[in-house]
Amino acid sequence: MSARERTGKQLLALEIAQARAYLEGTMLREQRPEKLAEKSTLELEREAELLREAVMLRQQREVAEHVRATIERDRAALRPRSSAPTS
Amino acid sequence: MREYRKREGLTQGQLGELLGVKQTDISRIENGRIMATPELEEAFWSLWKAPPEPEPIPEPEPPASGTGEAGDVLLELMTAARSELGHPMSPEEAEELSRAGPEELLSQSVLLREALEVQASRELLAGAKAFRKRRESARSGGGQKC
Repeated sequence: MSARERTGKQLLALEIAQARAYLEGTMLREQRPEKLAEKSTLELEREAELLREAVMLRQQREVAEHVRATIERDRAALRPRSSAPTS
Repeated sequence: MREYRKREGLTQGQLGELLGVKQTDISRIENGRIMATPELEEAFWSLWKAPPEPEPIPEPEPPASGTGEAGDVLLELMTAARSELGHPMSPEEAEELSRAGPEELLSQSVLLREALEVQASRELLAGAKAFRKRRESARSGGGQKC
């Protein structure tokens, strides 16, 4: 294996580990990227591509959730407050 | 040798001159009638600095179906996204997607992301309109008090 291919595999393994850590909410060191580098380049490329897409989809969902929460907050702020009890 | 010579636009005579051999020797080597000496071979490669990299051996292609653990993660997110969009994925659809190749899964996911983006934009717009309407009605109500 050439040095270039080895570096490429290491970068892919790191990307996979980072994506998994983000998706699972775990620490990066728990993912052990050095273990991933034992897989073939093709396997790593495929996995990285799928996880890259999963990260983008998750981020898009988080954006949607944030938008909804913001709208709801604004709505609540403008909602007329219940009138104070008359003495 | 022929391939490299032609790529550089050299004649057999010109290459012979560069390597310090006759044109006929180059012709014989190219036609496989004689073998180049190690010295000549070395001189030849030194002209191009380095010998060409060997053809990479292709890795065995994994089976087309099945996307492994990463595919399962993506599919799970896609199922949740479909529910958010108000079009929950049927068990048949989920089963079909779980058997699909990575390209199919990726293209479906891209579409879902775009749909989520459109939905978020619509919600944002509707929210902004409602906010403006309420603020205006609150202002006009306040004006009456004054």
